[in-house]
Amino acid sequence: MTKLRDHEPISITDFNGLWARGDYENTPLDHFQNANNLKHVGTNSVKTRDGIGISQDVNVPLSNIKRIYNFPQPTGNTFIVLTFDPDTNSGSIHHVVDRTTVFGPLLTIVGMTDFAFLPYAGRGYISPFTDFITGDLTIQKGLEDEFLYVYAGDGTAARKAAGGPLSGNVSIANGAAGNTDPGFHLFAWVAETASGYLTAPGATKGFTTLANFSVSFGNVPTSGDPNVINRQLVATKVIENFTGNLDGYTFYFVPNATIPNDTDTFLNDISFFDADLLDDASHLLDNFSEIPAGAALTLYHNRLVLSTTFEEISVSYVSAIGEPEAISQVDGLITLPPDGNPITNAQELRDILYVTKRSKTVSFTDNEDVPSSWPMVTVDNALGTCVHGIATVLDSGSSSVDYLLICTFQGISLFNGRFVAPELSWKIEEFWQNQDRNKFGQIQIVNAPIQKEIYIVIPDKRILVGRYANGMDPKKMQWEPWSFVMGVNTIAIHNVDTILIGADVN
Amino acid sequence: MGTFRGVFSVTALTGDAFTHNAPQYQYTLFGSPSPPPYSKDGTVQFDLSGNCFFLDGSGTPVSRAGLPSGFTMTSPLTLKCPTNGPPESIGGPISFHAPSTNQVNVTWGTYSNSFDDVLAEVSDIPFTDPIDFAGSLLLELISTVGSFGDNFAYVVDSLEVSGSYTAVAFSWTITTPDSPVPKGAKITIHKDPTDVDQPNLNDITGIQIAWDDKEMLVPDWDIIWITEDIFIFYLPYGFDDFEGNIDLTALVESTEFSGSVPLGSLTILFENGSGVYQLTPGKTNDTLYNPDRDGSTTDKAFPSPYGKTGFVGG
Repeated sequence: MTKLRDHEPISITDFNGLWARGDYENTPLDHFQNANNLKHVGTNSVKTRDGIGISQDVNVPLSNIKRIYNFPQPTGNTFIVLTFDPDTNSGSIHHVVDRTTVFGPLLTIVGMTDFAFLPYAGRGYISPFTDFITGDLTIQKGLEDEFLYVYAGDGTAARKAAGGPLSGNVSIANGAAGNTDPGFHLFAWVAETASGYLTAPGATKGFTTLANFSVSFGNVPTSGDPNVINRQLVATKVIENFTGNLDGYTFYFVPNATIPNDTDTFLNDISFFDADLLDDASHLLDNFSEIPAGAALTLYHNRLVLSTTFEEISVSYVSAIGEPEAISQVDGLITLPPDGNPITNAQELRDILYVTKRSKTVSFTDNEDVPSSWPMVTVDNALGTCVHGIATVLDSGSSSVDYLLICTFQGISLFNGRFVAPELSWKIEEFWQNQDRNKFGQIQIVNAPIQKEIYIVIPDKRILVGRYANGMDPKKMQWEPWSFVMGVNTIAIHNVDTILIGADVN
Repeated sequence: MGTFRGVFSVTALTGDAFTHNAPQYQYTLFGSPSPPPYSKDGTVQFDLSGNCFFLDGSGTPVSRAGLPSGFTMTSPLTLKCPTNGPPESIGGPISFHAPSTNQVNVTWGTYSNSFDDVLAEVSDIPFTDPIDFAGSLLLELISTVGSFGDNFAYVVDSLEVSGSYTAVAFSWTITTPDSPVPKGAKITIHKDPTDVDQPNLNDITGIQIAWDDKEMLVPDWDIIWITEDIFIFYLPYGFDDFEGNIDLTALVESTEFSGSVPLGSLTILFENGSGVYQLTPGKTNDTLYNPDRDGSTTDKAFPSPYGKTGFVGG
């Protein structure tokens, strides 16, 4: 650079991204007052961002994308996409298997502008939700009169999770010679679906067994549901003085008493002793037969956690262990203090379940008792997050090694059991706080450890990229906003390091 | 320079102290039988949307939109309720007691902007600041009587303001690289440098964008360059799915003029490039699905890649 007399040239050789903090005239020379579509390379150099290409090589690609979730399956990593048709005000969910294969729509619901998704055991759990305006506040909660759905992952339509009990008038008679404890028993039937859900006992009927005979059943009702794979017999132990209350006694699964389909209507010659009745089925009576839709789904200790239904915005419903559709209406819930603000998110970290509202974070710890007994501890009374405000990592849909990245009103923060100050977005405090808080429901954050970058969809449909290649330190972060011709709604990481972008009309 | 007069009719009222005896609205407060003092409050809203402004003694009213470009009040306003006075007798003889100064709170402002609060009596209210004519006038009455029989009332059916004004004609123009304008595009405001009577563009304190009943200010970081004759900024993002025209207004504070200057309308570029995309390392443009969803694609340049460094020596 030519040096003028008495003037020292100023060389700017380092570029460390956007600075939007305090007086913009005081922006450090190695930062940008404003920037667009730049990408950091090396330690502190910049170039224009990478371009985008199409992700679907089909004649009619999906359009008007509202949300993308990863859907890892045993055969590969796929993704689930919500599209929206403004003409019908309907959201439709599709399963994109690869560039040329799309299943669906798996589910179409009026008013579904967003959904929560949880992959579990090869299946996908889908909960439709949307925005609601209460006073000056825009909140997200489950759609009214809508439910949790389960998708089998095979291109078939998603079906309502859980299910109602069987009903019908079963005929019961003594069977061939066999063994039972003589006396009055109640018998009932539980249907099991392909996803492992067990309905509440139904088609209950009493019968007095004789000591040296087995029991046979006819007219066993079928469900008519193609997802039911078998029906299992449950029974009470001998009831000495029957009160007539069919639901007032403890039911147990009868060993080796299963009709292995949903078509046969008989089961003959079942022998059992009361001492064989060990597996309690009574809790099934308390389960939701239809699980209301919520705005957040997560997994904690192998339990599905569904939060923020239309009716209960401060309650999370927690399933039985390993049975995501078995949620007790009696003790399968955890409750936050009602304050008019809905639960926005829930995430496990280090064996603790953290549940957030927009400006509150609490924790619950599994005490190996029913969820309603889990102790609640307030973690932060000022900071919380939004429905997509906790970073997912790669295709896991969960936290990274030992921390969470959370979008709060304060900024983008590291969370390791508490919110670390200063926030990671310290350099761009003003940029972040300029975001419309009532549109935080549109914010989504993902963490791409391979690229060492955080991607955040912001309400004006741009992407804010935070690079932590120089360290996940507020003063070493490099921030750049990216814009596109179309408006970005959602982002996901596919197959380890492919960044997927879902866009609707701008 | 000239004079103006505005006459506004009542459009709404709140508060249990009001009764409506069309076309008049009567605000009455009687001394309380319970231990005084006794107070009530309510509001009257006046409509400023019709042809309610009379300029320079003319008998033909014009609307706010019909006011001269650059209309600016230059004198304190006088405000009065032409029909303010005692009501008809209610339930027998009533003695009226005028409220003391500052017992009537008058709020003047716009529907959506911040209000300027002025404390004054209901009649002959002096205003000291220039006030933008927009939206409506809200008159809030907060009154107290001290003892039983200490009663008063107002009757209002319209409100009148008057003052003097000046009009500054602006020749500011805006240019854009494309039309319709994509978000993030560079917008330039020009001023004729030979017109020394106009405020300079470096007197602009903000650019307001209005669309679809919403508005926002262009953030500081989207303002690129300011001189006396040129003002350049990036059209910000944040219009959601809006498709149509936006209105730009410059907010100005100068010795010659303080107020807002309409700059004109721009049509936002609306492109349906929706779909699922993936970032492709090394790719130098964006490939989008064709809006016709026929399987074809179209290549687009990145929207305005740039980095604006901090001020050298700043």
